[in-house]
Amino acid sequence: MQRFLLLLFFLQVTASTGHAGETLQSVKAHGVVRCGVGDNIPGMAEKDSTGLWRGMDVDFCRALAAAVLQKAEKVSFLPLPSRARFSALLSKEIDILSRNTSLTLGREAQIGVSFVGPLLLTGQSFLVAASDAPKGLACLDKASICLVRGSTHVQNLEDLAAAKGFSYQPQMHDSIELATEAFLKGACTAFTGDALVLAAAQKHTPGGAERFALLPNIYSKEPISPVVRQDDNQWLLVLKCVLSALLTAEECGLTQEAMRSGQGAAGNAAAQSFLQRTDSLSKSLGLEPGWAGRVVAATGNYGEMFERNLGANSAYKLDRGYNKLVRNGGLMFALPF
Amino acid sequence: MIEFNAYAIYVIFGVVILCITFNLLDMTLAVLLGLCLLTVLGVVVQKDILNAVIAAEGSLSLLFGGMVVARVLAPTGVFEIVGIRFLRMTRGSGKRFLLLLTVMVSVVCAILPNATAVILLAPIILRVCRELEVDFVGPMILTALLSNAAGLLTLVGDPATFLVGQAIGLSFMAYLKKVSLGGVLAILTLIPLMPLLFPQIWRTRRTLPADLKPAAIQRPYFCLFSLLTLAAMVGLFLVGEYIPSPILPPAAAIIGASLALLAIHGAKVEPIENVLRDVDWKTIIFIFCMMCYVEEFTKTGILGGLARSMYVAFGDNLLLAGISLLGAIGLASGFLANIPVVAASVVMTKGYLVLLQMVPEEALGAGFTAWPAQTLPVFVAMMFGGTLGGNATLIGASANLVSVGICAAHGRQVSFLTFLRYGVPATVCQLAVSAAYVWALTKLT
Repeated sequence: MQRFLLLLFFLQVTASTGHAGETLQSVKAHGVVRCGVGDNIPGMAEKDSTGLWRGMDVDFCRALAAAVLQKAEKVSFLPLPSRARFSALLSKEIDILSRNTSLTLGREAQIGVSFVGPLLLTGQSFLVAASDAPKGLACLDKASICLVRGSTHVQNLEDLAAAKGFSYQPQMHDSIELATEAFLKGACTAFTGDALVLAAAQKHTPGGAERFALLPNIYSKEPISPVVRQDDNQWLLVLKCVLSALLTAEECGLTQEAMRSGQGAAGNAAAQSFLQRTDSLSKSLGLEPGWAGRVVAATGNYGEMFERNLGANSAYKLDRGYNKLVRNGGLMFALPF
Repeated sequence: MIEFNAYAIYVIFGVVILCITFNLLDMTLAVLLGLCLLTVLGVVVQKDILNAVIAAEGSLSLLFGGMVVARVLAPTGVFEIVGIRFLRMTRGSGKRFLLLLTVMVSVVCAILPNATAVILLAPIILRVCRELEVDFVGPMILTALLSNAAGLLTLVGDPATFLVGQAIGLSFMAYLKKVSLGGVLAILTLIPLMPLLFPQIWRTRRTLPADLKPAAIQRPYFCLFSLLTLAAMVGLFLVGEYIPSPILPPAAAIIGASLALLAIHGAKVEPIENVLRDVDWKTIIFIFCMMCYVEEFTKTGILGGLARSMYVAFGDNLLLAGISLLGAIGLASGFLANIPVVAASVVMTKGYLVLLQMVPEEALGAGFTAWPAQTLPVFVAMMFGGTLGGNATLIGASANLVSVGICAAHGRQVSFLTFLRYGVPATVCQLAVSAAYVWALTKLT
């Protein structure tokens, strides 16, 4: 009996499917990407009137699902308060955290997570009443400031106050939605956060453009990035490739319309080369061929994603600023394949 | 699809536990067949198996090493000598036997891995039981229960205590000062239960022969080398991590096993095939398979949302959270290997404390040590739940399995239900005492 069990045991151990990445395999087995997102962050992750999730963070998850599972809709979104985001990721409740999270090396080192790379570049700013705006930072002295708990903005604000010599009363909230609500109700004099998110919140508010103003300067670097666990390099690589594919598609002019209409990369040598290169990586990445094309067909290229969620084609009409491609004066560029 | 995988795991694991509980199938065969079925369904992948190996943290090596060393020591006659000495100390009293056993197991298990200690002590216990003419099943089960509780005496006494202690940066001395007393209480809890759980042994009185003497050692050099091997292994357990080229306990166990095999081979006592054949492979395979099941459970993310559920349910009531963790982890550890359960619970509890804003998000990582004093009872509750919960069932702890495996090797099969009769009352009492200790810690910190 003992020998039989021993034989069965070794057969079992060696017979399990071999593969490179645990998360990728798990996502394929489950048939869905479990994506942790923000709880109603304008332009990043919000539900529209039909209940459909929209936003940059949301679209990145859809692009990932299109690459890995061939269908952009195979995503389940889990809205998370700020302080629950990393524990949800580390406990494997989600496969990817795409929740308006700033990339910091400190978080990589201390929490044990890996950042995919900047999906959005922004910085910390302050939303104040339009009447206070001309005073600049002086309007923050002895003011009550709304913040999102656990965000990088808390420490940045402390540093800024120490450097500029003003004092303030922090008012912590669990989410951007709650902080925005408190600010709009007049519970605090200023609301600090990512400039893009503040701008979106301002434009989202009826009469916001007239009642409120963003202070003109940016006081920190906030590269917003998707996050994964540190123990799965294969999964991290897949996500990096998806992000790079979105940017490369914009660089070479490959659009969602072209991919959806069946035109694809016809007549576009750069796009053809991009699709061929990404296809040649399919096996190494553990993805089905055509993954980069599916990504673009699902969400459009990076520029289209931005314009749809935050830019000209959105309700917010924000300027791309740093998020333009390098060739257009911005800071965004694709890692080469 | 996620639901399918999760349900497949729950259903198959449930069926496996039922097969074991009602003795419908050999328990190792049951867990293996369950894993095979999960593999066929595509739920188990190779990485899960590798993750289970990592999560096992060398516990299988510890078992293997302990089994080999104990088996090699058997023909030396040393167990006979120690057994006779122990027997004399009992003066033929079953009550004294159980109390002395408590002291011996507590001391040995505070420094040695539990299952290894049980393997090494088993020949002595069997020898004494034979002379006292009592059934050895009860004392073997008691040894397992004591070993699990004794693991709480020091930071390194049990993988679960070490795991949690490491997660909150608790030093060896800080552990002794703040947590060890709880371990002592868990051991003492078993003493008043002994007359109820083992009434016949407790009442036993035997007149020992006046000329009780062990047989002379036949091969002194073999005996000496084997004992040196044991001493080297124990020495490496204690200081191996601090030498310039660190040797962790699993490696120490393998070194000990190799030297022991060299001793028996060099002395031409018997072929090493005999030693390897007598290793309890069934138990080793069973424990590993159980770790694979836990890996599958954690993969479903079942523990993931619990941090937020704890936040909603308990708010900032740390005492309630601690007592609930004690019970929940205790229950889970009764059926699942405690190391991965506790490892997953550490993430969950840290997440809860982050939500409470008692610590920053960085506390989720490994290097954070600035835990507020009032969080200690919550982590202590986890340690006690993980360690003592394993006492409830035959499959709850490796020491239980080893103990039952030794009984089977000596002709006494112990069923799941038989073990429950001893394990459940002991666990309920120990967890109740631990809850009181957690309460006291909450008041004192």
